[in-house]
Amino acid sequence: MEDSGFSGVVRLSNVSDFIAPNLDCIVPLETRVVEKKKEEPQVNIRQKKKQRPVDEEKKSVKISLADCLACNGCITTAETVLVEEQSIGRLLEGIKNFPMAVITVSPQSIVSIAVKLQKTSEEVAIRIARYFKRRGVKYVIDSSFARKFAHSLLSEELESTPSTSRPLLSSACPGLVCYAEKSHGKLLIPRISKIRSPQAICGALVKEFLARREGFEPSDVFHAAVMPCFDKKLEASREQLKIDGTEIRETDCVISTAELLEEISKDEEGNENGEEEKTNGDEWMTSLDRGVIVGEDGGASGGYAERVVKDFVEKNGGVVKIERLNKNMYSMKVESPESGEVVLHVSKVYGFRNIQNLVRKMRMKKEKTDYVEIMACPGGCANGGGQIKYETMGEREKRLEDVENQYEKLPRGMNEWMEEVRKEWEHVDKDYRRLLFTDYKPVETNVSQNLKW
Amino acid sequence: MLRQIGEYYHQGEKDDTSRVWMTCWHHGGRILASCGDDKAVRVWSLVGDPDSKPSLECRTTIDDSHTRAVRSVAFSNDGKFLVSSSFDASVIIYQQEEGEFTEINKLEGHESEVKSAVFSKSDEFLATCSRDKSVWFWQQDEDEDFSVSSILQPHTQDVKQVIWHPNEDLLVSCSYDSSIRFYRYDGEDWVTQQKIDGCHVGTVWSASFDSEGNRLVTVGEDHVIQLFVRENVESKTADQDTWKSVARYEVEKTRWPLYSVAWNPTNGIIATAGGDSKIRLFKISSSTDSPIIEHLGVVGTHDLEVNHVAWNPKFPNLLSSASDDGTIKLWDLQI
Repeated sequence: MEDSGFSGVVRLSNVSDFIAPNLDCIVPLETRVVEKKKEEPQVNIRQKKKQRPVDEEKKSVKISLADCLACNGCITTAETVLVEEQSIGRLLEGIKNFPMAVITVSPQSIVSIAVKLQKTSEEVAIRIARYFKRRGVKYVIDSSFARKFAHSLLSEELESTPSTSRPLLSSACPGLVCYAEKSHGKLLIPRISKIRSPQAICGALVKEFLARREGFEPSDVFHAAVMPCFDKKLEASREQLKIDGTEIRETDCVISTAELLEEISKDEEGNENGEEEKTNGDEWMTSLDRGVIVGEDGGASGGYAERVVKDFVEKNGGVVKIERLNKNMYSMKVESPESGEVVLHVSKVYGFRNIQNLVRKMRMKKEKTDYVEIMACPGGCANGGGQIKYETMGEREKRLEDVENQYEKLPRGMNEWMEEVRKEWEHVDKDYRRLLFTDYKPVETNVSQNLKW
Repeated sequence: MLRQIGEYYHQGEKDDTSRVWMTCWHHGGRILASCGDDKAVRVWSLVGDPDSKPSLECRTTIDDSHTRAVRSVAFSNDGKFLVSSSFDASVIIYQQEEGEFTEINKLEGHESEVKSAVFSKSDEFLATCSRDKSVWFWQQDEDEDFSVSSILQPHTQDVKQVIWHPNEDLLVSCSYDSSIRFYRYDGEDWVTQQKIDGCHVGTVWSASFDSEGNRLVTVGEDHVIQLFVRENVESKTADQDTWKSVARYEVEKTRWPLYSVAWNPTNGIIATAGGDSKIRLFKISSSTDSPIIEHLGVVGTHDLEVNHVAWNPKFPNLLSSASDDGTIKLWDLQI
């Protein structure tokens, strides 16, 4: 389990069992031969000794309750089922079998591969786009585009959240969402932002907006994503992220950065600087073809905290003070210039241990922040479970720093494109905003906790 | 060798008993805490002369904290706190004042039954472990609250017990996955210092350090008691501190696990608690180059499985044991 691409939060709390698993018990069953006492036939006078047919020794299979409770085998089966279902094999199949295929690639994945191959992010973006286009994918889009939509909704949502329902928690991390639904339903679910994650917004963008625009039905479209973690595979399987009234998933398949690198490394052609593929479409649909990737301020985990603070200061003024509390926790306070009073308190909380402490504080009503950018992985998405891994601790730390630095250097932008698409989308679907939001539901907990002994 | 000097029912009377999981002595040797399936923690006073048939008297019963069986109980080394861990996945901290225990903190976060919770020697850290395969380290912060310092999950199965080194910030965990793990604080975070797989055939149930902290014994499901020694006694850093097995002894006349082991810090006698209801004593003799585990014999019994044994830290001749038969027994060592 240590090497699987899931976040520590998901691994530690077995949250993946919310996916309907195959409840096959995998505990290796000990077959013990139960010896049947063979009765000596009594010798009776004048009775022939009957030949008793030899009974086949029946094998007794035993499994103790202790083994069962300790095993969690059924949970593991769910994860393996999931990972098999969303593999590169399936992705390539999907591209072949559907009339239109669109792939979303996250900038964190691109940068992670770039650092590994010691190339620029632009070169890697072009190579990835080319790899998919050559296999029949129509568009390869940058998930940053979808993130622009999410960002634009942040301040409105925060303003409409009363102080009793704060802190508002960012919703982009599926590890956090799964954990909240499984372990702290009552406390956390009402506080998670309802804005969809960039991957989920892409799903709607591709299968609802783009499909129709291109003259396809959602069922004709195959949408896959390349993401920095395996938790995103769990997100793609969510009930809430299906086309209204159907069983069609908005995102059919998610593969991790590492899985993609393995594939493109096998691809010899990709290395050559061939002719640039002909690209048709709006700028946001062809940006990766041209090596244009967009980043944002505030780190490689989506920059939600940063954007919340930025929007607030633009509207209300104030002085921003940033404090680093530990390796994975930042506090950002906006102080009123006149009184010095803190008018907005935002924090970044990454990693299970910090999440645990945050939850404790929230439960005891001691948490005074307004918004928390909360991520399951220490180091944030740059260090996601599906990113390229290195052997030694020293190398891992250095490479993570490289990824963060390279991410920081990505150009900003795409805002105008987002506005144009938004207008067009609203024009074809007056109710399009519902596709930018989602909701959450608590999940049945561990059955054994209901035991009374 | 070991003379039974007292037998006490943790709950109720003879026909109304419930399993006692363990007992833990206060560092002053005069107070004992016990816990069990009845969801209660009991605190007892050692009354009388420790050398001349002392007895235990129950002073307090705390039965309104946990909602399921209480699996472990431990005093902090300064005696100020008592911590209990339960199948209800919570760990509760009580403050002790003039013999009264008040619940001051409930630590939640583990996903399933918490098997063990113990304070480090300096009381700076609290370690807990659970069936959810993880080991958590907690620290007390300014508001007397405990916050999580690290969460580690190096085991692949239920973690049965965590044991602190007598002097250093070093922790050992024992698990159903047959392995033990060592953890050290590197100044910023807790890291896994060493993993020893296949320690026992089956579950490793318990471990105990000797008084100096350079030797460790473990016991397990295979009714074997095993001795580990520290290889580089001088270095105490995470990357250089390694332990290796140097001796093992298999208790032959039983098919039952050894559930608990306790190494007397004063006289070096090692006591074990067995699923076969027997308490055995061992000692390490190093007359030759390599140490040998010497079995001194079966010295005590309960009516059912013995879950735990604990030496009194102040009066080294006293041993307490806890059993499925619902009793706590007090024993006097006579060498």
